[in-house]
Amino acid sequence: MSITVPGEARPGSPMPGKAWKCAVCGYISHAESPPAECPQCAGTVREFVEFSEKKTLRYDGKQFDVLLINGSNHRANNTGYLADLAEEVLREKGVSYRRYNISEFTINHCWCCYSMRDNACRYPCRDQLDDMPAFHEMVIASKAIIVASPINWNNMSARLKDFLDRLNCIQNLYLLKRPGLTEGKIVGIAVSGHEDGATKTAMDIYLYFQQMGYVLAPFGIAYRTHGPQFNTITDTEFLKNDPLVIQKVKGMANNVVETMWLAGEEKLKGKLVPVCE
Amino acid sequence: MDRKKAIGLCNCGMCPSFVDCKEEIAYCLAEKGTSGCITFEQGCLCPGCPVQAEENFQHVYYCTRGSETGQSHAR
Repeated sequence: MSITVPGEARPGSPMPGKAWKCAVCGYISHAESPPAECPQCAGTVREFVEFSEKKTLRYDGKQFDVLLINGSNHRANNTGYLADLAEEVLREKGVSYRRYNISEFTINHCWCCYSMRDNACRYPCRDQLDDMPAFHEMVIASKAIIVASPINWNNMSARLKDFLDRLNCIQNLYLLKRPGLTEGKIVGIAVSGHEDGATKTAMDIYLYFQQMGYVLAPFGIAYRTHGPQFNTITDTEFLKNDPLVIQKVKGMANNVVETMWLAGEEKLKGKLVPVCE
Repeated sequence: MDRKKAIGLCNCGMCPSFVDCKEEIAYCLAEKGTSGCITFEQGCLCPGCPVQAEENFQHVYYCTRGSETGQSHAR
């Protein structure tokens, strides 16, 4: 009997017709429409995208204002909703932005080259094998970043941590006393969760940006949790109908844009003393 | 750094994207154009290359995307 291990190509030709891929776990459904629930990971129909050959993300070099990152494993659940709200504000205020749900992209773990040799880690990153180099370019090109995260075990999602860990090559420029690329940019953070850990998660995220010279927008952290007496099935409905969520997340996004319009990045360039580890 | 010195230092020959067709390497410093025979990006050793470090270059995949100067002007 032959055994096919996960990740190994199965024998046989691809099935004809439409196919849908779950962005959470990679399950592929061959059908005219995606399943209501992923049979592998229980993701909702919203997680499915039409399956196509994976292409490495490339940045086109066009300037834009805000990079919006949905750091959840789920592209369109609670954290995705917070990202939707932020996106509404960006549209209303007429700023240029790009939104990415990182579950749809390949981001390798950081190789931690800096732990071999300080100067082994610098921008551009040595790992050019995944989608992260394009994100590096967009982090540098944008004036502000909004990061949305779920709370997973009192912390950000592992995917988001991979994303943030991979910013090390930009942060390390400051330690190597090379010209920095991010000081004076603006950050805003949104966190959604079931129970506790929201402020810890937000501050964990912020620490990465603080080390890269970002300025946290005033009232730049928005978070909302439901409560331990409820269950996760009802969280989505609660969050979508809670006026406080709308007020807080939209407020945070507004504050990011207003702070960005002060053009602090240009004014601070070359005037800051990097204080980071 | 002149290109002759760079050729002696550079990582091109060890790169997973490299195809040896006897052309001049150190594509980061090429005056114009890209490699005539490398067409697939299968990894890039430029970020760890001593030439990149010494010159403080900011780009990658010089063989397929053009030299440092070329890529800088493209943005």
